[in-house]
Amino acid sequence: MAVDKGYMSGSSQLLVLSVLKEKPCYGYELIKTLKNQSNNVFDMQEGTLYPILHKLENEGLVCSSKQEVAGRTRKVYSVTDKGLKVLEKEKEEWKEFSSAVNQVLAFGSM
Amino acid sequence: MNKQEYLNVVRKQIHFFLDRDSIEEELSSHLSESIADLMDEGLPKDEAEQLAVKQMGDPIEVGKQLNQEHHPVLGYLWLASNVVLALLAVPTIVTLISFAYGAYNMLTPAVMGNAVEIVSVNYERITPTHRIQIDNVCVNEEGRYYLTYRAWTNWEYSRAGWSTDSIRVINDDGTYLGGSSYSSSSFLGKYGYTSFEMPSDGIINVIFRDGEIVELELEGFK
Repeated sequence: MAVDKGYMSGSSQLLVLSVLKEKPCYGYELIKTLKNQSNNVFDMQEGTLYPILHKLENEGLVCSSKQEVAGRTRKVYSVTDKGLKVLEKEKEEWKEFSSAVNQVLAFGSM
Repeated sequence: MNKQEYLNVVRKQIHFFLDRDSIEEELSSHLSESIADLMDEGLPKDEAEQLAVKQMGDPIEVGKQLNQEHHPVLGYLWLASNVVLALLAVPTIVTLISFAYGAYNMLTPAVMGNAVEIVSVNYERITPTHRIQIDNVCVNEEGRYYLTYRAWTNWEYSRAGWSTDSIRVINDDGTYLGGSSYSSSSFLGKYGYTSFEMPSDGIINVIFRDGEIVELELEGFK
């Protein structure tokens, strides 16, 4: 099941920073990781990842370097200290938000 | 739509032209890897390319979103500031070199480059506007004599200073001995030389620009 675009775009920054915290990735690798870790739920339109990455880079939350691998140039992104702080903050917000949603859903299904 | 067509549509949305190549390179690398993986799964090349492009999503939408992150106004401002800095750097460096050259000449005794004989004079005179140091008598290959000097302009005095020579050598009757002279200005003052005929007694009269005449006995030229 692939989820509605709206859910993805709201939390995409959180998801991307969270994957990059584990290991630096180039774009294609990042998308595959997101897809695998979410059991194919986060099956986004691949091109839309790049505006997100470039926005994070402009804001200084991630930085990038170019790597040559087997004749292919890969732009590898890693999370900065500033990015880690934002990630922690967004994680807390997400936990609060999702537990609130769950509580309301539980109330509705009683 | 094939890979290159997709990339071309994305490129068109990016207004800041300097960022187009790096964006294309990144997306092209993504598509190549995607195509290679799909072919590994058994798809023929054409189908793999079509599917890889389809999975990227609408190229116009992706390009528009990328364009927002590569804003042309900021991009051109950045470019313009670099050009301005480069343009400013050239005259700054030239000025610094000429300052350094002028300072070096003012801080070392004045000598003529083609002198075959150099005799130190080391005479200093302070006028209300200048401090003048006569450094050497230089003799060139043709046997002509020159006095070399440096003249510091006082700080409170106009930088324009004297536009004519700081010193000349004169005869007893007040006419100039010898002819050619040369001077060069730096921010510290002037330096140069003036030619003269060596009298048999080795005593010359030097006139300064404030009108003062000083008798100099040149050791070793009697």
